[in-house]
Amino acid sequence: MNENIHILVVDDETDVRDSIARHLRFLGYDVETAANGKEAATILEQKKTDIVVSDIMMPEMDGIELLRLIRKDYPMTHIIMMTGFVTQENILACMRLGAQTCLFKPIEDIEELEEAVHAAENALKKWKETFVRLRKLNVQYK
Amino acid sequence: MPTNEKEKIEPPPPHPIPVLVADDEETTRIMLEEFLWEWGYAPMCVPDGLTAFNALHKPDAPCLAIIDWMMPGMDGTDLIQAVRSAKFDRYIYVIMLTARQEQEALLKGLEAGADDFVPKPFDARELQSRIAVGARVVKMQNQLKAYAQNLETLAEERAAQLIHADRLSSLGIMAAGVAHEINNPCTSISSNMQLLKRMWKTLSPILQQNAATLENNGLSSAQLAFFQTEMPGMIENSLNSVKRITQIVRSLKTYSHKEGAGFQQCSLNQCIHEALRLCAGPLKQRLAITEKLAENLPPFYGDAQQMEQVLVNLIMNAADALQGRTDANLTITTTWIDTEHIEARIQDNGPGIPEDAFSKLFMPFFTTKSMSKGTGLGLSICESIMNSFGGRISASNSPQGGACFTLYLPIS
Repeated sequence: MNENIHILVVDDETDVRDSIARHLRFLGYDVETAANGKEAATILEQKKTDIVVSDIMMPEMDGIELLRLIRKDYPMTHIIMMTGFVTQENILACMRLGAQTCLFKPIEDIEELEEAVHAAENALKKWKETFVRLRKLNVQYK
Repeated sequence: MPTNEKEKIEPPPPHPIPVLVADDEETTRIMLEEFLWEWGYAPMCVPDGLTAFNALHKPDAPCLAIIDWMMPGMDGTDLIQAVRSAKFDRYIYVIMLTARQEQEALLKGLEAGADDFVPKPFDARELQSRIAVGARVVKMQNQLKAYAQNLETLAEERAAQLIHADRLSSLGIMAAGVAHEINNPCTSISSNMQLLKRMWKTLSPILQQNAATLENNGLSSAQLAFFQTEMPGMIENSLNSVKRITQIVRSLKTYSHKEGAGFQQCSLNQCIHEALRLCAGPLKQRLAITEKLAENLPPFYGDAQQMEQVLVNLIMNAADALQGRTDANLTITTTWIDTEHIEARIQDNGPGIPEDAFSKLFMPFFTTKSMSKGTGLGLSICESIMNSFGGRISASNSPQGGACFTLYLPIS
């Protein structure tokens, strides 16, 4: 039922990336993975992505840069950050750049991730409903 | 004869300086012995070189020796050479005694390592003053030796401290990196296990319902029952282990706190109040707390939150040590020590610290608690925090029983 929601998981650690992706697939989402910001950017260009779950510290292009890029080019995409390296700067950057939330590794309670994904999903749904309603209004005004 | 001689050797009293006399002539020995006692020395007379050499090997053996040149067996020169090459841990001042007055003999004796030379028959006054010189030289040598030894001990202690400090600081630098590295595998284990737990929840009843089919396919009911009982425990166990790793990693990160950043004037008493407030939940009615806080205590310069962390750590340690006791008591005292220092003491009435634990108490990963309870990092973190404030933490057992931790801080 969640298959029309596309999620992109970005982490340089294969095991982390795979386990998070596996969990989201278990919940029924359509999941892609990328090993760093650069790879993620390529996938974002090719495929409409609703939610990005990204690590912060990564080679090539880190999570903050990816976050900045998404904010600029894909304003409708929701972002959930994950980090094992909790610093004030990291968290502040995430908040300023409008990340949905920031999860701390190791994600001791996976429900935190689920809740964040659900919240993003609901926001998307609401927006879509509003969009449809506005379109209808537009048609009436024409 | 030699047995007779041995009986004559009297143990030197602690005060008079012991002097070894080696001479094969009994008359000389007796004479020397009498003189030496008279001059306030403790003579130790032997009839030959070998006995003398063996006597010098004994603990508390003399540092002064009067040795006859001509002796049967090991003669004076041999004895001196043997003494010099034996490398005693103390200097032995040797006065050669000889009838020979030729320059040749004198040179030979000095070459062998004699310090002084007295011709036989000796003049008592001359010998007395020469022995006095020897005693003075030995005393100076001993002082020098003690001084050198003291320096060495100091250097060793300092080196040990430096190595300890270095290990702590490199551990601090490593910690952040290690913490990050460990976090990733933990994340994947943790999320996999959580998913597995859910999958098993779905799978388990289905397996049970189809027990008959499974049995036909080679899975006995006993095996299935085993899976059913063990699987949840295995998953829970793994999840708990990951939690434990996370806990260690979190403590390790504290090592990498930036020293001096955000330091300000802090009230020790206030930190104690805050720490007690933080501990109030877990401590609920488990122990009585007596506060003896000094009024108008001057502030220290540091980080209040870190100070609270130290205090919470010590309070929780005490609470663990006091577990199960009905008379559990924790006394927290603050004192204004002198114009420059304040002190906090956290004292419990538990079993105290085992003697053999003292040396390792502040070492990372040392713990007396069971593996599931402690990470062994608490006290070592406390120490590094106290050091960063320019203070000190020390541990002792109070005479009334129980452990006592003292936090010593410079006044801001």
